[in-house]
Amino acid sequence: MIKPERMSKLFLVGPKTKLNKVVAKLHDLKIAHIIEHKKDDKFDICPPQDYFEKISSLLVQTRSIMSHLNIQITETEKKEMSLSIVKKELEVIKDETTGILDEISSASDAKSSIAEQKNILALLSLLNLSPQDFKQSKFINSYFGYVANPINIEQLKNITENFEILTKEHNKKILVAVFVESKFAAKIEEALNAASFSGINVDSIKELTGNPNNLIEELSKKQEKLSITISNKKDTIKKLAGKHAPFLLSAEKYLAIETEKAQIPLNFGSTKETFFLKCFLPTKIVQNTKDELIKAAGNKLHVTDEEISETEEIPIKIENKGLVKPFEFFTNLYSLPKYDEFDPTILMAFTFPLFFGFMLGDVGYGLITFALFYYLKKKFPNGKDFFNILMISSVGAMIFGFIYGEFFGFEPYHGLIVRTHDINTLMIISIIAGTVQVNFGLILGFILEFKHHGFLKAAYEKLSWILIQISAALIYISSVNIVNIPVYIGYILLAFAIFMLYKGEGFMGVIEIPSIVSQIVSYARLMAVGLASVFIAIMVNDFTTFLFHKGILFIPLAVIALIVGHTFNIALGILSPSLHSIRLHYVEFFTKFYTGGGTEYAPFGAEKQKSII
Amino acid sequence: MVIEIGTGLIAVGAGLAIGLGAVGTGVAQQQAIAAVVGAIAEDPKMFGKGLFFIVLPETLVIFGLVIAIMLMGRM
Repeated sequence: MIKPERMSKLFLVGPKTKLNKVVAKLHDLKIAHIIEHKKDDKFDICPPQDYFEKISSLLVQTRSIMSHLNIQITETEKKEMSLSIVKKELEVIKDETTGILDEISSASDAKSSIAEQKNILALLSLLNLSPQDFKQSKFINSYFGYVANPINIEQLKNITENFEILTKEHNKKILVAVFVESKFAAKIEEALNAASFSGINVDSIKELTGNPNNLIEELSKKQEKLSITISNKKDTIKKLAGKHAPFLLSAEKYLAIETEKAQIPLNFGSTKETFFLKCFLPTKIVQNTKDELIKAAGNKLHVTDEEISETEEIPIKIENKGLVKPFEFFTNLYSLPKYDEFDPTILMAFTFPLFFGFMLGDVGYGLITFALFYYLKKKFPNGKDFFNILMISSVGAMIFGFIYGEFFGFEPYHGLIVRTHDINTLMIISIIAGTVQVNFGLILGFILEFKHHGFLKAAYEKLSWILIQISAALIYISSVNIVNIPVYIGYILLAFAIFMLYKGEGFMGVIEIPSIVSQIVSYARLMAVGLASVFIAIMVNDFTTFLFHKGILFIPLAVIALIVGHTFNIALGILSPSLHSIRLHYVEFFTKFYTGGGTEYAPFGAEKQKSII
Repeated sequence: MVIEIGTGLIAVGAGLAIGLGAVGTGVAQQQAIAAVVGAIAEDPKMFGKGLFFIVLPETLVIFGLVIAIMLMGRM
């Protein structure tokens, strides 16, 4: 629990004829973290199973049909199927749906082109023109579009007398249609461009004949018909989706698993007739797994334990139970421990709610946040761990609420500590908490260093920090005569501690000495964040009481102020304490003993973890 | 009520401690938030981590508050 799960490494060799069986068994067991074999001079990588391409193309087809039918991939039970059944059924579904889907898409295309035609016709009718006016002609060029600046008619007249121009203001621009003899086209275009002409393409209506308004009416009818067709077809598709969803979902699941199985041999090594693989798995189940695998391969598998070399990256599985389990979320968020490091989850599981509660510390707020996170947990099961943490922390807030005697900022009774008055007490408690946690971190760091690099190095690097604190305390208490020892003893100890630190961390370590003070004082945030929360609550309450006494008319206003104020404070009271609490762990505590950076234990066949953050 | 000038100066000092601390936090957070917003725009999953980085500089104003409270104790 305090260390990541112990791992063993296995080496498996077997004939390729048994590859299928072994892969299937490994997938069922969901415990082997397979190490990729890199191709080398001696051994090639194992090719994927021969049915891989077939199966992955089926998977792509299934997913494409599902996306057309608008079926979301959800958690489904795994069902046994066979490739031939899936293939046959997929063909049937495809035949049923493709035709309808094609019709829908062509109908929507037609609908949008009608909409375009209608737009153009509406513009033409503004100028009293009809589509025939734009018929292709050898002798006449037509221009239709908007201009930004008015066209200089005189300029056109200079070019030729044989033209016709129609204009109208529309949408703050000028709609214009110009008809002119083809031979003057170039010059006319120049004149139009001078007026910033932007043309409208009328190709889509050239085939139409008749009055624009009548045409629009006709087109609208067509459009309506198309809309009805589309919605009918969509209903059919919906029905089909409902009918085929269960099959498609389980087929998708089945194919996804089979694809995974089919391509996992790419991580194995192989010779002409055999395959081999290396994998990590938890030590406690090694024997069982060996037996099961050998049985699955009909005794034709050779399994041996492999020595784990020092430099090797061992996958990390952290294993916590009960109320501690959700706090793995924070460990994952930071970084998984290395194989030899402590798993800090259990340490956080104790202090995180404690700090959170110390800061929020209000029975009413605790109740509300507890209910809120309970609701959110039900609503978003993906974030279960996170909400569990906050629910545990809310209980912490309630407990501290009783100690402080606070209920929504009111003080129904005189608490053990009254936060508004005993600020110094709060600060001292915070600093003590800081001293304890920082030194606890240093001790953990000492233990790790001691194991890996021996006592001296551990003492130089970690114990020196503790000695510095002790000597500083000694200097203080002897100089104010709390205990009767000569002050110089403290100074001698300090010099010794600094020397140790210099040996351990060099000159940089000596420069860093003040950081131990700032890290411990940093825990004063436990007091500060809490005070901010309690004073906001009191302010809200005072303001509301003031409004209540103003008269009956102000009562609704007072209620609104009460609700808004406390909601705001609760939001702040969730955000601030949790962030500051986690920060204290990550920055002040972890840096003493924790580097992290382990790779996650990802056994073949197991579902990937999902997270909301 | 007569207040000695020394007491007044302590009060001013306490105010400065917390005020300047807050300014420092603000300056630091301005950069942190700008960077975090960029990161979130790239990848919304950065929200949680980003939020954490935003509160890092709040230590400064907390130190200010500690000093202020210590000064107030001397008034």
